[in-house]
Amino acid sequence: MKNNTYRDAVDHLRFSDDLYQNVVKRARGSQRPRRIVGVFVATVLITVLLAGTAVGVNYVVSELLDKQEVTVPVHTLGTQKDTFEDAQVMHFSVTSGLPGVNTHYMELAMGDVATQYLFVRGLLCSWASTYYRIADDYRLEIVEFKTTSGWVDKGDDRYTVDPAYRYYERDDGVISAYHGPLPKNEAGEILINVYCLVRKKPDNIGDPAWPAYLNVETGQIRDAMPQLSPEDFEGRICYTRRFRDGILFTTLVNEGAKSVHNRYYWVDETTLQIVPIELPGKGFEFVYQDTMYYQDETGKLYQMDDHFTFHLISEYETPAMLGAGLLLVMTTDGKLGIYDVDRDMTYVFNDIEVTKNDLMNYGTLRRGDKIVLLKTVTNWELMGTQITQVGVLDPQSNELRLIEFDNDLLVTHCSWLADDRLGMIYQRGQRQYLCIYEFE
Amino acid sequence: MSKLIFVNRNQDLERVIAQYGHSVQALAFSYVKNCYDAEDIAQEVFIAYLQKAPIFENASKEKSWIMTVTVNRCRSFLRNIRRMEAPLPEDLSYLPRLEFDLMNAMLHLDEKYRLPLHLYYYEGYSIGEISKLLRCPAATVGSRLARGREKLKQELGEDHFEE
Repeated sequence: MKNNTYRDAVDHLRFSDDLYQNVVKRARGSQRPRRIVGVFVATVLITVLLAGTAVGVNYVVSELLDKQEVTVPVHTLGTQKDTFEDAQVMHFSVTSGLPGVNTHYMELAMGDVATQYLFVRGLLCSWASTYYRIADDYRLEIVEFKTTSGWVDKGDDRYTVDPAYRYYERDDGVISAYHGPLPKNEAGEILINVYCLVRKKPDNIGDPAWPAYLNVETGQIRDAMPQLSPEDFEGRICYTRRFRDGILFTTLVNEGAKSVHNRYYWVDETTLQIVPIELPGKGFEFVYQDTMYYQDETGKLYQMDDHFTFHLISEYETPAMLGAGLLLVMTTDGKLGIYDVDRDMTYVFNDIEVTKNDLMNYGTLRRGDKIVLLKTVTNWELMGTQITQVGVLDPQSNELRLIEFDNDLLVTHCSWLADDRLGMIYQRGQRQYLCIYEFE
Repeated sequence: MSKLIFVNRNQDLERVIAQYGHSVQALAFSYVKNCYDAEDIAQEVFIAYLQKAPIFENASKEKSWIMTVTVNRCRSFLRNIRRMEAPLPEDLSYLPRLEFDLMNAMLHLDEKYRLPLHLYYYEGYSIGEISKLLRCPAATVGSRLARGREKLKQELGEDHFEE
């Protein structure tokens, strides 16, 4: 073997430049999260469900890795196949330096923004249409398992139809789990490719899905949106949620290295008619108390009326984001604050200074009296959002406790789980992890 | 007193990582075939150095100790990990073409060939040293080196080989 070639190849391997810093950090042990104001009243217990050998990923997580041991049964599917086979149970123990993540999850995590949007309370969903629920004892249970029965062929496409025609929702509106028959219109048709069904080509899993009506008696399929061209609807369907006695969904299109929301649609669940929703430019939408708000890139805030038309309700010199009744604001002296719509109160974080650009990278989550502040950046490699900082606010005492993540740790999604647990999906290298926070 | 030891070890640590960090990661990479796991293992090796390493007579003994710990950690890691249905390959597309082909071929070799080849051609170890490190008879190391070379030659052709 030519010595130089192999030696050069090994020398050119891209390892981290931070080996020394990482070793020192791990050797010195974990540190308490930095406190911004006072002491957070509740005790935070962190449990890691899935972990590879990346012990040093987050100093808070690593603090507990030595103390916690949880066995997590996971069901997975045969991957890279045109049909689904019986689930194979794999068990993981969670202590430092233990087994990695199965391939199914990793493949779903890599660039699969749809998975992030489907990470709903109590449920971790997969793109390949297997849905998992996080049980109280941290077992991951399959909520639905697609089988090969019920294939419907239409030319070169095959439609997977769940025999029970089930779909999913959660009680605050996002589609997650639902047991019962799908709604039918007067013609006896159901709407497929919106309700957790995907169109598959034999050589590709996760192809763009096109809404279609399927007559469950005759097996006839017709196009649900014939007025649109393939260019108008190139993307994958994602972000389905219940909204105003119907279903709201979006399409996601890849533009080079990033995914963007393409269009929004609403399905009238009585007629199954699909209504395209025109958005006022590029930006973000939020639904609060069955009203949709939209904030565009310039910071303008819109509210949608009953006819799916947006009206400008507020214009800020600096951007603000609305989520779950919380409006992020910047004070005149550049401090970050949260305005609570319900309580008509503003919480100002004296130690967090922001600029106009910074403010677009904050988001909020709310569960009862718990408010979570997320600082994010756009990660183009992942085609999604990376969470770099999580803060938990106690609105009674106005104290905020911040948790920061290592640069190597890509936190891609944060969501409330059942029983007021906070779940985060994060990724390090090719491994994906699920981390759950419990508040006592 | 304990703080003083830590500080001294810390100074040693910086030197040791500078000296052997890449070798440790490269050896771990030969076992686990991806950079992130290799880095994790390397961290564990140097933490072990920080916590347990004796005083070494010379640099050779120090490296030998570090590489032995690396081999042990890699084996422990591979014992614990579950086999994946379709493991994600490391993306080596940034390597120049010749290097890419060779590294790719190496990673496809069985571990029993790959490791001796790595230690021989990258670290410059003798067959005797490899035998001691991998706890394997010297004759076995020799035949695996030959066999591994043969397999690579079949895979890559003569261009990658010199007599």
